[in-house]
Amino acid sequence: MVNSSLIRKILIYFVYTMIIVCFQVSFPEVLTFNHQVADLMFVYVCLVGYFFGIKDGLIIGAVVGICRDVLATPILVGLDGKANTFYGIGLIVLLLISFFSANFFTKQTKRKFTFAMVDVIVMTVLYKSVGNIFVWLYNVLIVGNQYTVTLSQVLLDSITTQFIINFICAVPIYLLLRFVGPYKGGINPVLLNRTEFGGDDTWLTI
Amino acid sequence: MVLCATLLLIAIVIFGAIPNSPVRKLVKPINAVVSPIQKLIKNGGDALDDFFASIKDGIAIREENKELRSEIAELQYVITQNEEARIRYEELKDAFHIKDSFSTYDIYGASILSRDADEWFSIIRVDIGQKDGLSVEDGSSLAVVDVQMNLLGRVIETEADSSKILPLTHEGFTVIGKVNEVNGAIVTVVGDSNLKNQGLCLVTGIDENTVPEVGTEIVTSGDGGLFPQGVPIGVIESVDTTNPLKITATLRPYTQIGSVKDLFIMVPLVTDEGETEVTSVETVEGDANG
Repeated sequence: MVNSSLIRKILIYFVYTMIIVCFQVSFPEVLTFNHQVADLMFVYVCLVGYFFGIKDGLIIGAVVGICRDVLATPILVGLDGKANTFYGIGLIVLLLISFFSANFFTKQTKRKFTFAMVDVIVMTVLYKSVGNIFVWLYNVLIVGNQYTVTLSQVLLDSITTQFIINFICAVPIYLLLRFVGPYKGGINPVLLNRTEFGGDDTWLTI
Repeated sequence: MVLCATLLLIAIVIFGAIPNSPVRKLVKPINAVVSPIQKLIKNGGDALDDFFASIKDGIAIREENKELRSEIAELQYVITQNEEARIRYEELKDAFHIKDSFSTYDIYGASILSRDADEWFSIIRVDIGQKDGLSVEDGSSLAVVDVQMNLLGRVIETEADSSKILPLTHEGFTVIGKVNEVNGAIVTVVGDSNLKNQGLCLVTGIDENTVPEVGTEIVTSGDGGLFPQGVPIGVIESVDTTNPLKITATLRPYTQIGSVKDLFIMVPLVTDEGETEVTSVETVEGDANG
């Protein structure tokens, strides 16, 4: 007999993943503020990893990452000076984010709404900082292009704007995952029964 | 283990960048599954948007209709005058052998499926691809314009039922332009990592004797063969002459990529001998596509 909670989990993950991925690439103008697009996929992966553990996080991170690569493929200027599409960058980014989110002080503290928001902010700042450093290194050192973005623009326009809009988007996504999410009561029973960290049965509190 | 996995994935990314690599073939079935769902959600969103827009527009249209009725009478007279002028133009066109600007191109209409997911995942996907006859070989590309025939970008990759477009504000985009006047100065219009967030492009290769003024229109020069000559790109917004050896300007493209829904892809016509009627579509070295 097929486990009904498993079907529910797969179905809800599938629907949420498709809606979030497709909405972001189809209507980015709705989610744009100060030239930055709210990264629903990123926030979704962060929250799944943080609340539902590393297994769910990595699976959702991989699926969303692949969809991101297919639907919004990143373009980089290659060593030959020609612009080229690079598949797999979204996959790496979201797998790493899900891994880090699933381990974001989850052994030291209970998985709370407040910490989930801190997780989204920290991961956004980490992603944007590492991303900008990578793009700078790639342009200046490898391709030999001029990279004209200044540090203040990175800090204000890229990082600050992004974490503010990601933070705002994190609230409705959290509510969806918590109250109409893949698990009844918004709690992953695998984490509920975990005892190696002194019991985790009251972890999900707002 | 995380480091090993990351390094392995990075290796796959680099391997995937090689033309015709198996990684690209792996993406095709995923695209076949995800694309229809994405189209469905986009169409659903558009339908909802259209529904509310139709109610709002209906009220406005009723008011507008009253005004338009009175204008019709006046325009009927203008139409008669214009018809006369059209006949004259056709006569002169034949007499002087004037060719239509883009008569050597097939124009394919397309709708945008998806846009940028964030500042680094910034490709535009449209709903026509290889099944519709579009094909981009390695080293070649196709020009893309908006509905006003202003330059929007170029096709970078085609799949079975979708194509990917590099927008002109992306730092990987380069086009040779010229000031839109007789013997106008040649310049290079490039995407810039800093300016793209403001929807602007950078203009380089400006000669100190022919510095364009603010408001000057820049069009494609036709050099390089990818873009036909005379496609409007945008207007000069500011000029930086602080370094006389490296004068640069910022250009505001006519096309507003964020609000474009439909666009046109220009495919050079192929003659009976299998050659394109326009000059070669191969991109020149350094991705400088004129």
